[in-house]
Amino acid sequence: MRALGPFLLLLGCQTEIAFPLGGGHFPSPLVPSFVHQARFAITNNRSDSLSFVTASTSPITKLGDVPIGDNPVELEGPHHIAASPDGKFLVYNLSNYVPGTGSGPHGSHGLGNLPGSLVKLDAATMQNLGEALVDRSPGEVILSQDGRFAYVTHYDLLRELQALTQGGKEEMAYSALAIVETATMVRRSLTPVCVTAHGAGLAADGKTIYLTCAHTDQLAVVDVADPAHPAVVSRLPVGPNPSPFGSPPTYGPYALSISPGDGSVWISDNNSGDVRVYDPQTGAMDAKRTLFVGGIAMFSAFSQDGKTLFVPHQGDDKITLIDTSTLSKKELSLPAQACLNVHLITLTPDQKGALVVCEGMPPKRLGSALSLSLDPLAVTGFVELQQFPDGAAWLPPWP
Amino acid sequence: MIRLLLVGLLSGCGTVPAADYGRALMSDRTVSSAASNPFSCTTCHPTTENSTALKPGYTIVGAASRSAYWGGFENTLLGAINQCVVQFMRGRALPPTDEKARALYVYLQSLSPTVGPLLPLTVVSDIVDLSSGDPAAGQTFYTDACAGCHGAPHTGQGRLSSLIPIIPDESVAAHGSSAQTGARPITIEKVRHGKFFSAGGTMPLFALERLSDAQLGSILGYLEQFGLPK
Repeated sequence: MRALGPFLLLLGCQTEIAFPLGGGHFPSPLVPSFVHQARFAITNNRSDSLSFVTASTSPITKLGDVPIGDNPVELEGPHHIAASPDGKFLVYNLSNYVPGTGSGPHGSHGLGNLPGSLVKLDAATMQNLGEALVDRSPGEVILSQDGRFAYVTHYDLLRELQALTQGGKEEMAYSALAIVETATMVRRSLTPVCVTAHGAGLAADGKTIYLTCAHTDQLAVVDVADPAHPAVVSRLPVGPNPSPFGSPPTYGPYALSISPGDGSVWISDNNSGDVRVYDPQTGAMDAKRTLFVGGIAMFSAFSQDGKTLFVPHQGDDKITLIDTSTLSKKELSLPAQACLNVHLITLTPDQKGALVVCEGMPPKRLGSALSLSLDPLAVTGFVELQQFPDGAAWLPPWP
Repeated sequence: MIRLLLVGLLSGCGTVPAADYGRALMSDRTVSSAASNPFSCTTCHPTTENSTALKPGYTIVGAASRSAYWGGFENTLLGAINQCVVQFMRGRALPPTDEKARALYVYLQSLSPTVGPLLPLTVVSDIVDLSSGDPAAGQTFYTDACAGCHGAPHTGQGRLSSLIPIIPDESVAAHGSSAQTGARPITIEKVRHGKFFSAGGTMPLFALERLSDAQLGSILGYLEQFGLPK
């Protein structure tokens, strides 16, 4: 309308738009009724959607699916997800890494050659509240305890490949840690940390973040006290025979959980099928606490008291419960019809139940979510989700 | 712009009813903040209920009352509008308080008396070659679906902007005749993916519901007469 101004002014008139009384206002986005109950939000990596499911020990039910992402055409690969402490917003990564879907002269869709982003989503209306550009192939996202900062790892295989093909040094292959201020969605820093950084956990004091470096068998310890200037403190081998850069990893550290008891870091290893423990008191790995779980160890979770670690593993699709004091173990097999390729476990806040997410086998088999009761330990139900569920976050009832 | 001016003049300059302004905006490229944008809403959307025009978008009739948009991806009308404004018109997203956005909404509401269904949008993700169809039918389809933006084949006469390539000539010159990456698969990909899948540009895509493979095959047959590789 501004462009009309000169013409109309020349005619000696001023034009206003007459809206109907009380009209011309877009309706508010609908709020799904299920937001008024506690629930889990689960990303579907290859469906560009969130699935919402109940969060209790009762048999799990699906509450709904919501499409997410920036554009309606391409698969953008929403990866992991985290919820703010007050449950008002979610943050999730768009990884732009969805191999094998879509092809044409411009190449297969995805392959992680585009920067990813961190999206902030209103947990009630599902509307985008903001977005920050991060780096290629964002992986894990976690929030500080107060929800002020989001920490995003990157599992940048292309960077590793480029460094190797160019005969470059390991440093050239480092993936970055991005720190984003959630109020403004301004990225405060993007810091190269290690090769194929993936799993992440923030120490209780909020000043140290631990990252698994999958392809170099390392744990990176990063000082994040100043979000604008994180500093890598150390990169420790997670076992006695770490693979040199460019060779297949021996252990393949992929995910981790931090004990709420003593702050120790329990690392899930893909390749060696075990859990290894870093002791922040000594600043070293504790070789005595190496626990073989079998399969491909994935995203684990601690009980609130730190006495039990729940470790899901693929290949055999089981959950191993580790007593962190005695290091004794017990297993729960997940029914084959309910779960293929278990990805993560997370406990309900009341510690009576847990959610287990299984990838399925895209595109042939959809992913699934299972509800567990912890006492007695049992699967209480399961539901189908969409293609390749990947991350989960618990949300309290919306007021 | 001329329509907008007329709306102002016909309204006695004092006030313009929002619905009239919204109607004029439908054909105005300044809906987008990008000076280089050649598109308006009606470039891609038919304006009558049962239109058979081969346009990438669905009719604007009933648009304000649909339950969702973009095949279910967008739950709000403003979100759907802003996909076009941002993706194809290269503008900034319109906030809900924007005068133009509100006027568009009032106009679209006037065309949407009843609750409308969610309309399907099937994106062809995997590009494969298509059999060339009848060139005569292809000419009709080309005129309807392509000429509004690209102008006449070979000459570009009547194209919407000099930034829009003349086809097939400029496509052949840029991409050659390779069966994998040349002008033919590029043409199919641009029709099916538009600007997406890293294809670039600002072209909207044609989902299967808006242009069938048979129709596209006929367009290919027609363009072969102008040098599109077979």
